[in-house]
Amino acid sequence: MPQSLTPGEKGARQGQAGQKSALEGYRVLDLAQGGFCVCGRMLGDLGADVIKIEPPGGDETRRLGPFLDNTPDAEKSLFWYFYNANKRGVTLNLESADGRAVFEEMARRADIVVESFTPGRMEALGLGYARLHAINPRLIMTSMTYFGQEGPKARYQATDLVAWAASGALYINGEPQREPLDVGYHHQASLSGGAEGATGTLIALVGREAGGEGQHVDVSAQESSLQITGYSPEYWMALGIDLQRVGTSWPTSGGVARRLVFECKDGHVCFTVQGGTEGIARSMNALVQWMQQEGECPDWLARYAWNREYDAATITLEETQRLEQPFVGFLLTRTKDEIFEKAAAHSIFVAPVASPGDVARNKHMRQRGFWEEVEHPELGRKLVYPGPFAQMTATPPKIRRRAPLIGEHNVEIFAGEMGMTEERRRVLRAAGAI
Amino acid sequence: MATPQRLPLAGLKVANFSWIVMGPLTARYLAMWGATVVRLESHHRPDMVRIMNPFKGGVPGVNNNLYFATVNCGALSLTVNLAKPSGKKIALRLAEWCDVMLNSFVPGSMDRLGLDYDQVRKRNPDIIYFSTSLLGDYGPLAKQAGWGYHSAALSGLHYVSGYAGGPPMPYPQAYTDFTAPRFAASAILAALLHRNKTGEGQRIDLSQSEIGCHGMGPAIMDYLANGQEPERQGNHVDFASPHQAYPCAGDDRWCVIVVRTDGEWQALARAMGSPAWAREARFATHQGRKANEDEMDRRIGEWTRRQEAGKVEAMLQQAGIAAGVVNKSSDVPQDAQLRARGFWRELRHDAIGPHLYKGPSFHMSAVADCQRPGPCLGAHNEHVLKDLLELSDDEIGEAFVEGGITTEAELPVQSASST
Repeated sequence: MPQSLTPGEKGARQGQAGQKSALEGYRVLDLAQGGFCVCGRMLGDLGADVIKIEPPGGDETRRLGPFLDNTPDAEKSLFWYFYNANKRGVTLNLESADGRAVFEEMARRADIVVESFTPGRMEALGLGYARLHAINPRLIMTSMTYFGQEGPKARYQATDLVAWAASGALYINGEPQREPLDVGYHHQASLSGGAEGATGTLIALVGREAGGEGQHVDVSAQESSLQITGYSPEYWMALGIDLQRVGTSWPTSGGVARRLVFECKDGHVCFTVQGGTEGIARSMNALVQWMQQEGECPDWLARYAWNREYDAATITLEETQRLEQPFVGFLLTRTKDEIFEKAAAHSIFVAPVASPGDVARNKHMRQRGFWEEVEHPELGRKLVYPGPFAQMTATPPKIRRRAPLIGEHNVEIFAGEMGMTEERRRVLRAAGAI
Repeated sequence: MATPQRLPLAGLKVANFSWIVMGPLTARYLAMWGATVVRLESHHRPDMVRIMNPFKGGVPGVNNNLYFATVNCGALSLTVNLAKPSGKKIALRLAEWCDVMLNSFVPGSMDRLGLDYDQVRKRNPDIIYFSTSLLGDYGPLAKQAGWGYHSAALSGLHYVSGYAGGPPMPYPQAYTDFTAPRFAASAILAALLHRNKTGEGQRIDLSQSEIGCHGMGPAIMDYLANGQEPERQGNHVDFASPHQAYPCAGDDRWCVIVVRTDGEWQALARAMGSPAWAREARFATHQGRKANEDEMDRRIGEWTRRQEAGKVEAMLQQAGIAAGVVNKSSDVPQDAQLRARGFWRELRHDAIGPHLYKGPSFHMSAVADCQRPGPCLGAHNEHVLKDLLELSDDEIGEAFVEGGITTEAELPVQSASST
């Protein structure tokens, strides 16, 4: 199990000493929860000073597993670790007047506030956008919710599954005779809304730096998820075709189920038998050539002209299955690694259906320096993380710090940076504000 | 409230050498909020999305695809043949003109065209040069090509999806094509802020498989830290139960129901009319419901099956339970919430006519976006060449004669489609 990295795999993308971060000098107050935490993570990767604000006792996101060593504990949530890396953390009770006063003090000096409470909650606390804008006109506030700030469903009881279902993304996935199927990492709606939140925040920030004021960015996870349904709504609007579930396949434009996953010797590979364009035909020919070399290619297949003969708009299910059949047998007798190595050498469009373990072992990603070792002094160990989301030559994103422990930076921020006296902090603590 | 502002990205110049979905969707974020985006295309090798369904009414035509029009909102189309010296000259001119340049080709392709970062930087030193590919710009397998399906496979997203005991069930759209553009646009905007402050440009490299990993980071860390591989569990999760889509009255109609606390379970039991089975102690706790989940799902399904999905949603929301209709593609254009937010916009496309476009997934309080339909192929040649790149009439004329600027006559005869 690759719990550590070789020297060559370490720091391959750290950049040179002295390089700045792109968002250095910007401060973000992060009240977001669940998958919406990815917004602050992205801004943090890009170099912003992100301060996570949790209620005393810790945010409920800490209850999301999996947990380190399978030990459910507010300080051992891998969900928390991953989506809150590159943030500092304080505890603040926004339900108390003292806590709100401290928040306003922080908001005065911040550039960005990101939050994901049910619409109306910030207003009810007296911390709605109008109030924050009044005390800091340059502040950008980004609200990420399942259905957006307004509309008949804005205040719904909602979760990722509810927003995903409302977007149309749930309906199209799964077996036709069974229930619609969620993507197996079940936070996609809020992760989408969170990433969309980072984009919206940065657009607003560029606008502010060009002479504008701050503004309120209102993100809907339902709409963010709907973008992931690809051309499904347009299929309906252009053709009157309501895309249906087709199991492990994906539909041709003629509505025929075409396999997207094939079984192989030690698992599955992602591959589609198709033609119709030059690039795809080249990939198919390369695979057919490999089958010929191995003596496992029927004559008719060797002669098939993928570019001209294959037409997805008119192909029948019988013809689709006839074309797929030789590949079924060929792939079944080879391993994921064998297939992928050949694919990479000959530009064949096939990829392993990688398990998390396969992902961790992926040689390419390791040599790219994607993984980062992050120090967890409180555990006395380092953990390996998937690294930042992009490489940038002048301002390399990196994981500069692990996610905060509960209230870890209270003293550093309240006393050190805001100049709060010991006496005031004592009063706030006694009042349950921090 | 804030005073109306000018478009936040007004004045930003983007040269988009990418194609299909991921790159164009990235540029769409920029165009939507004021950037000038020039999309480099060619009649010889039209964008794949132009030549596949969904065509309006099913009638093939490079300007007739609704999805292309949506993905490329606001882009200006310039058609160039890079194999001709005059075409290449125009491409270089475009690279000089822009602030941000995007490509999504297999690593190495831009080098062959003389349009790689090092070449372009000589002419445009502070350019923000963005590349994206299946596995990123470098590394032993960098030249492997693939679609968004393949990056979802490589990152683990396909593996974790599926019914309990069944095979991996890949999401039937090119997943990372839609998730990666947010990360891409964020990196580009951050680079822009850095450049505006320091004058320094840079190169950005984004691996779509790494974005897939970002979408399930904790599950990958579960392996890295705990050595555990996940099992496929359908819609079931460890943090809620019920967490399922239940059958309703009508043709393939479903409603999801999510219960996160024992209090919500009691509310659900009441909403179902407090049947004897739901009052049983074994369903009273989260642990008990997880242990008897298949039976619980079946019994809830017996209740939902008799009602319309919309009624289940309304009744359960009234009771404070997270529930909602499973929308089909045919439902989303009418969805009350999307309508109320103005998500769908009717825009008039030059070839397709008026139709509905997906809007942005976020609103801004002080400024409205400037969504425009995607372009017809080569529709902006004259505007881009004359007004933006400031080529002389002679230069333009020569490029036409040489074939460096492609025209309708050069469209390949497309007899087949791939999707």
